[in-house]
Amino acid sequence: MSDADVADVYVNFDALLKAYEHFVRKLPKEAMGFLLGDRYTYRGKEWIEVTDYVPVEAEASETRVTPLEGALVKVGKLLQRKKLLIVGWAHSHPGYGCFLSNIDVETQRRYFPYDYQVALVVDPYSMEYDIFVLRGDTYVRPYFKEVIKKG
Amino acid sequence: MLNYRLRRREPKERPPPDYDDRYEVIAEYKAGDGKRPIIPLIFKFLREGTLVKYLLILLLILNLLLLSTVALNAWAAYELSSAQSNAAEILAGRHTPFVKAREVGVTGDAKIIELTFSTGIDALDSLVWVRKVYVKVGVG
Repeated sequence: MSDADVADVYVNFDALLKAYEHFVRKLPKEAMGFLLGDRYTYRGKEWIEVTDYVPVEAEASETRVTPLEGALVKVGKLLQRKKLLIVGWAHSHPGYGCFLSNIDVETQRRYFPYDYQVALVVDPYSMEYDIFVLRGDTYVRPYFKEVIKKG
Repeated sequence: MLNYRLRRREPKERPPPDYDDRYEVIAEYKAGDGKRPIIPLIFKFLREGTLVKYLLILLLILNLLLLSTVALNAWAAYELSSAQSNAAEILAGRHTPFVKAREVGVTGDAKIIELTFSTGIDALDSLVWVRKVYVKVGVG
């Protein structure tokens, strides 16, 4: 394996399943949560590890989702305990595919502005997902891998 | 309103999971790749499995076998019960292809007829709990 094969993002399968289960439970409404993990470098290349997903209590409809006041305090306490970073956010698009809407791009720009912060979008009906990062005025798909921690 | 503070710490040097024996890479996506389904990854996850996962799969197969057996027995019971009222016709070679009739004796004015359910496949027939029933058919 060469250094070029080092991905930008490594998503833990358990975190992905946790998010998926949350989104299915909240159907037909949208739902959201934070992706927790950490950022690292390897031979000069920065990479992100997503290790956990934390649901955020939110006011949701079939087409939009907004976190409730106070929901973030709980996440903040969890972050302190686990010594993790918020490496992005995840939300569902029930039945309308995986992409970032204009509102999603704005959310990403305002609240997840760092280069290492990603947006995970899951369509629980089609059981598909995708990961995006902002680059300039648009969003792109990073090179990412899914991993399972053995044992 | 989202209002959290990010800790701005510098990234630590660490080899990615590709180089770490504690991890296994199960999927890889580059920009431009197509759909990224979750369900196939669940099957892949099961394939990687521990003993518990294999036991779960075994349990699933056993459940399917049990359901098939129950369905087969229900079918056999239905065929035999409807054959009981048509025993004479079956004896004459008519009616259902899955029930054969054989005269096994006579009692008074009646014949005793043995009705046997058979799918034609021995392995399936061995799963049927009640394959034979007897019925008296009056003579004349």
